Amino acid sequence: MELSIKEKAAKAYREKCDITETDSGIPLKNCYTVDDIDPDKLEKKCPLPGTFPYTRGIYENMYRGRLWSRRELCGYASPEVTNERIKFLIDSGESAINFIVDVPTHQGIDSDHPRAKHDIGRQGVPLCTIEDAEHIIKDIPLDKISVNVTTLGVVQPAIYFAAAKKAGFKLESLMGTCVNENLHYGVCGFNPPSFPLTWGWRCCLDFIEFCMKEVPKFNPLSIDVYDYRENGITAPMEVAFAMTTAREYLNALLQRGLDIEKIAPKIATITHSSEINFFEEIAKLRAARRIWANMLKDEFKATSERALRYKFHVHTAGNSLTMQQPLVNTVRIAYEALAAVLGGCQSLHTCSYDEAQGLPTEESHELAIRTQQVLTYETGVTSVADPLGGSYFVEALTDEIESKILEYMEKIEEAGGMRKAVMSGWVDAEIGHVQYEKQKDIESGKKPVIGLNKFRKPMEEEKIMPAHEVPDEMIKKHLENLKKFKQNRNKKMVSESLEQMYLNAKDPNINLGHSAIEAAEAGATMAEMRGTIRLAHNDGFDPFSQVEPEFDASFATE
Amino acid sequence: MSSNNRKIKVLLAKTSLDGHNRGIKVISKWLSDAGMEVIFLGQFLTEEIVVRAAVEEDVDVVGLSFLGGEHLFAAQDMRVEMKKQGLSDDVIFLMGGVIPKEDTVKLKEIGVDMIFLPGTPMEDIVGFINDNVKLGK
Repeated sequence: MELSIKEKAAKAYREKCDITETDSGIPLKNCYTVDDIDPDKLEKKCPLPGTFPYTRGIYENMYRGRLWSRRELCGYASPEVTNERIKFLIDSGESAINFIVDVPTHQGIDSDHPRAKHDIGRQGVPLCTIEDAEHIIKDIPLDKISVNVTTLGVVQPAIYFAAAKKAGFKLESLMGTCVNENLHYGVCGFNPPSFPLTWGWRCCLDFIEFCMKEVPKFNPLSIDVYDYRENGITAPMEVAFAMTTAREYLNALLQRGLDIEKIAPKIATITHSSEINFFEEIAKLRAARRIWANMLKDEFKATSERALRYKFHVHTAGNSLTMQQPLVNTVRIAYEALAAVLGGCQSLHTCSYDEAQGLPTEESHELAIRTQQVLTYETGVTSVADPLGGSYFVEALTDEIESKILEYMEKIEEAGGMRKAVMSGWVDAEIGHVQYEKQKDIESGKKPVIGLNKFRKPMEEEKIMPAHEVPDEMIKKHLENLKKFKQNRNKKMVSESLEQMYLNAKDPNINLGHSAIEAAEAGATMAEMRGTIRLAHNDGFDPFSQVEPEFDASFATE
Repeated sequence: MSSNNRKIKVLLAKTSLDGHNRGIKVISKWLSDAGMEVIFLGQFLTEEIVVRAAVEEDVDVVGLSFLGGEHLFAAQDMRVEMKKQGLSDDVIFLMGGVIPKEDTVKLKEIGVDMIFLPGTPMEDIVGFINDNVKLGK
């Protein structure tokens, strides 16, 4: 029932805070004192930043040593359009690149596949050929700026590497990151048969090992727990999924005979979320660093600083944004970004306020960077390392959230560890339960969301700007380019390179990194390479069983 | 809930290749809680498969969820399949998800009966279905 202005005034004036727990359900006291922390233990758990177990940050001087990477996710329409947006973002002041492939590419099919038609260039950039990658990276100094390639498996980043080589960059000079994480693929909304935990897992591990040897400045894995979090889970669950996923990769790479001191720094580049529950997010990030350091030291016997330091990229929470009153989202994004920085992130993507409508416009993308720039240059929060360290509340909350994370990690191990828990459907069931409860809290108003269940306006009063449009003519042009590329390539070279890849894929002891780069250079497409790996592992060529190879694949008929 | 003691039967699915399924999973559960019989067919489906299931299961409502900007193409392809497979005009065709507000007009022109944008209260969705399903068919 609508209240009168008089009633509203009286009610607002007397209003008091009724939030008594964090979003994950940790009860909150009215005030925290020295009694909530043990000063002797605190000294051990939270020594100076840059000191084990790094609760207070991984570097002694934090942002005075180096600011976090301001890195906006981008990718849409076609490789050319995406290149223009990347340049626009750099021109607007971003300090690192973050491009994401489109959904068909994620699913391992080229843009000319009949199932791709609705999704080409809609949530990322199509990456089918070396030529696509060349367009994406045109004029970008890949040895001077870090490039995050949001994709997975050995084939897609290899296409990027092949294009970088062609542009004159040495592999050892390339800086950046690749998400390259197989466990979350099926759980977080991708089609499991497109990249199953059988050969897909091998491809991810091959890529990590390949980069450790050949592309030393590149981080070949960024465990993406942001995607889990977006599904509605809690902050402690997010960190527990990160740690137990990392454990799977560490153990698998140790089994390949690699050295923990060299593996760990390559695995400790996690993609976290930052949601709106401010202190819980900060405490979560501080606790994550401590858990990682202890896990690596105690469980994996790592000793080097590089192995014990937990680095992370933060993506502000898309799911916290509303379609209603979209400008309010700029406020949410700013608080979430502030939490990430106070939590000591190494890299940050800030969302755009129009995300509940569609992809960001140039204007909203620019504002997302400006949000980071206000934090960086105006607020002064960068001057002091871990400015919240020693706060009775933040330290107590860090301790509490740490024990919640450890508790949930044990639950995951009881379910067989993260890999088994994913495969058995346990993780999916856990997410389903929590996301339903969360939605119930939003529906009932228990969890207030401004503009949505509190201070909502009638739809006709909403000022919603038009959504960003993906230019269809550029997608058509991309499809024409792909057709031409396929016509003009040397078919014999393509087939030969894929045969070599097939033979290598048949032998689990051969790393697929080299043959993927060579096949990309020879003109094989992404789906052809993926298909070849599929065939070698006795999977059908096409994840959707709709297309046959266009190249001579007689090598696969034994 | 229909008056002849028959549960309203709802088919929910995701077509195209987008996998953002949080919304449709929650809505599946919600409509079940509201007393409807819900079939969540899954994701990454073709329009042909969704419509075939709708015909075979004789549902009252078909609902699709989107996030990746595929909704206009999918709506057109759905209408083509509905005609081809002779799905009854009585079946209510719903869409929801991250869809630009300005596209809702186009979607209605194509033949989508209602589009639920982000932040729609569940009671609105349940109410719309209850009010619009033709009873006793």
